[in-house]
Amino acid sequence: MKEVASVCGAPAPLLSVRAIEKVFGSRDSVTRALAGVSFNVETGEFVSIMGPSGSGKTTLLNCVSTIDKPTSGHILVNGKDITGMSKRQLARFRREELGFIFQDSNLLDTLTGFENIALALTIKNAPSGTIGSRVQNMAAALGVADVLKKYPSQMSGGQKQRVAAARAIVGDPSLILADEPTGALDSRSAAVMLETLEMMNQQMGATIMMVTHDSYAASFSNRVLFIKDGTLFNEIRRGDMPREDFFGRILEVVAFLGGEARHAA
Amino acid sequence: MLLKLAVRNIRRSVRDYSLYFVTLLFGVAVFYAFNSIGSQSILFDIESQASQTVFETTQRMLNIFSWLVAAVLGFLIVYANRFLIKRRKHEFGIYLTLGMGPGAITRIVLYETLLVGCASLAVGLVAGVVLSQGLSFVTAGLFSVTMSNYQFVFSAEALVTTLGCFAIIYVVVALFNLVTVQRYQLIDLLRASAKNEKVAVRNPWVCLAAFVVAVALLAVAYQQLIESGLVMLDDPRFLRATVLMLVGTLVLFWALAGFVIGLLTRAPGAYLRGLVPFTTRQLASKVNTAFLSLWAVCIMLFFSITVFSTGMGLVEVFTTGMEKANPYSATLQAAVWYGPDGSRATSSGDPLERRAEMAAEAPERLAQAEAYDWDMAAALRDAAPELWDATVAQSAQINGYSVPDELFGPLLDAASAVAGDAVVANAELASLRDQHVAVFALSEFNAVRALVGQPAVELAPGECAMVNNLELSQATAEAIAKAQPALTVGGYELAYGPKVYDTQLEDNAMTSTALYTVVPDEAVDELRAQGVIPEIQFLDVMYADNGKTATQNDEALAQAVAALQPAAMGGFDKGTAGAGEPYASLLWPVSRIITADAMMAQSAGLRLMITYLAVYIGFVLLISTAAVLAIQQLSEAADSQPRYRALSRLGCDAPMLNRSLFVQTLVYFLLPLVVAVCHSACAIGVMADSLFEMLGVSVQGPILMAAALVLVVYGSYFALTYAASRGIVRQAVRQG
Repeated sequence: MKEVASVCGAPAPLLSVRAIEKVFGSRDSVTRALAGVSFNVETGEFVSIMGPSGSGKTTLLNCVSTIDKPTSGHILVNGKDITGMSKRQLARFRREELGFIFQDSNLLDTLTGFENIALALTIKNAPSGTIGSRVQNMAAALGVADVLKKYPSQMSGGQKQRVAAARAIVGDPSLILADEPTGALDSRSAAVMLETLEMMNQQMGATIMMVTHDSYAASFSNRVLFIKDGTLFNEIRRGDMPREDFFGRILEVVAFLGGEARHAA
Repeated sequence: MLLKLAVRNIRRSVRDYSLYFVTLLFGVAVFYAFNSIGSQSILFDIESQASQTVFETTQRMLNIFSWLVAAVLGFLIVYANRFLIKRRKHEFGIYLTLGMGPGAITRIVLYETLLVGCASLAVGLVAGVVLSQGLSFVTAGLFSVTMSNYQFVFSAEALVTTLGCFAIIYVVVALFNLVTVQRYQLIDLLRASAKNEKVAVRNPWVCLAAFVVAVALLAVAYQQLIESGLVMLDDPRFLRATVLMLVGTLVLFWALAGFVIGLLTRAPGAYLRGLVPFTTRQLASKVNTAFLSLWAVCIMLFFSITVFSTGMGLVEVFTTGMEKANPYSATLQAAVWYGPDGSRATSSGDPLERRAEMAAEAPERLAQAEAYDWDMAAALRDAAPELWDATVAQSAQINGYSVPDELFGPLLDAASAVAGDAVVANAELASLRDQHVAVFALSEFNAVRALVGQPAVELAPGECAMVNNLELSQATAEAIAKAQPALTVGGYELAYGPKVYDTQLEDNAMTSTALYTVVPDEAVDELRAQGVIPEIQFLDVMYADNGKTATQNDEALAQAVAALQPAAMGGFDKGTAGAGEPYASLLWPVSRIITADAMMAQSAGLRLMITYLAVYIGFVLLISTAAVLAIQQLSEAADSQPRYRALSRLGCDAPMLNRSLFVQTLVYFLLPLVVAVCHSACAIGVMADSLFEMLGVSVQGPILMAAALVLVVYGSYFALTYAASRGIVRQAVRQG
């Protein structure tokens, strides 16, 4: 399992987001997509980030995934501040520490399923002798062993997403970032995908941060952060609650959020 | 409004257009420049009719090949346009949804085509005019003349040809675009951007089989080509080789990617490293979908390289040794008696019957020759003494005789006994076997050598010697000199001495003395006593230092000859001279006049023509192929933007992506080139053995020149393509 880097002797969280702000636009029209967001994610957690469209959740994910840079504030992963890194360091950080699952799977259409998963290892220059078995094992665990020889265009949406999940976790990253992983799936495939993520979290020990607007999807996680107008609005933990109850709690918060939004309007 | 949109579209897609535009510009410029060669003749003091004719012939040849060049450029333009139009489906879809009619879109495309066409034509013509000025200096160099008064040359004719040709091409392109655009359906257009490009995958086992078949086909093609020797283009083996080469190359490109992937994926140690799988798959899908155009590119490259290097090789032929091949002011040749088929034999094959045959068919000529004891100079001087003396300062005559009962066969056998079969293996030499050995007298030989300042040759008693300077037979001559076989001439028992003399006996297009034997005078006297008459005579003359130009002296010499044998005088048609030569019908005293001046002009003309043809065709084919590859590679990079974005997110940094892109571009450019170079190497190698060796020319220089041309032109396109596609990828990553 991942070692938690120690800062001054105290165990540091895996991910620490500290007061980040993101401002878009020029002097004349400024949009504050993030207005000071802070939270921590501990190793082994499965955190969902929820919020209505335009709330800043995708901006937050982009900042954490180093695709975008916050205007101010810091993001620490394993105690290392990623906001000050150079482009090359960031690329290295992404391939060493992060795994990605996108809404549109983002598999490379010219590569087979096997090669797509293996890519996460080859770009880290993992020893090529071990790659084959690692990919096979991961694909078997995620139920996509039978599509390894297929191209993405020959797979179903659910298969593509699970191949993408395999690609995200096969390199054993510190943190897996998932952006609406069930957004493009039908409900059955979505359920399978979410169970897969849950399994990755519970049995493989993966730390997952998932952005979603789907309460059902969020109910698979341990903790849900609600974000609205660029700030953290609420946070609920699942604890020992059964998933159905947790789902109910989430719906309440969402309803409240929506209600307040209507009031404001 | 539509025009404005068209202009904006072009400006926006400059990235797609720039390399294409530059290529068009080159094409137009080169097209104009080479079509204007003819009008450069006014720059030079051209005295002789021969030189004037050379210019006209060159222009005519260039005009003929301009059709080929226009076809190639037309293909490039149509292809590139179709490509650029196809990439804009989505844009057209948006126009349609915004309520624009199909007619309006058609007009936008038309405007764009015309704008780019007119701009490239205008800029290309200006560049062409500038280029043609530069070319006139090259012409001067190739033609070995000094430019007396330089002036700006503009060829209206070339302008009209260029405008006409490209106007036709653009009309065709516009029609193509019309058809393409009008066939689009809105739904296809809008879906175009979200298209899931079908990956062309082929069964690796089928690919393996096809690859083996392709290699086998090419091997047979090469073997057939080597056997045919590439001398006669209507040789069925050459035809077979061509067809096999075309088919084999096509199958090769069809199967190559699948074959390589099949190999690589079975070697995970090499394959599963960094971006290797990505780079390989990118290339493979590109090669699989574009195998037809890769094939066309490869064939055009092959032509380009072969035409250029063999052309330059031929130029070498006309450049090297021209001085050595034409040491005399002029040679008057009497092809006294050739067989009915022009071969050096009597109709019955016996030298002793030559006189009787001539007496039967041309009694006056024989009587005249014998009255002068076969002395050409004496006969000519008698007819026009003042003109002759004013024109000719010195002369020397060589009489060649065929020796009865002595054939080349035994000499060749002796040669191969000491130096191996290689020295007699050539087909030309083999045909010599049944021919009589040709000899001439030592005193005549020394007189000719004295004319060119070579020291007199002495023969020991009972000795004869080889005289040779033809590259093809040099090794044979040396082998005969080494073997020292015996030869009986007029009853004298002779043996070859160890030396080979390299005297050029006549003015000729090349060093042409082939396996002559010089023998003591008494042997020749005895031959003549037996009734053998000369078979061929060369009267080599040196002009007097009379203040006249070479051209004026040539004319004077022609008049002196005409005084003895007016052009109207009847004769018969067994001379060797070609049709159109003034004295072709006469056997004696002069059947052909060769002047060093005309020979030089002719060779300079051939040099000019072949150089220009080779450069013209080679260059146009080269830029067209490079442009096709560049367009494909750039659009591939643009289509792959989402893939690069995904890779960047997965943690590939810019150097990794650039490396992959570099390899992709390099391999894509090298693939057709390598295959084309293999084909060219085979074809040029065969020609080097069959043709250039015979002409005594090394093809090394021309090959290096061709390599340099390919490296510079192709290399520039490669570098520009790589730089541009790197920009495309950088943009994709930044959009993150």
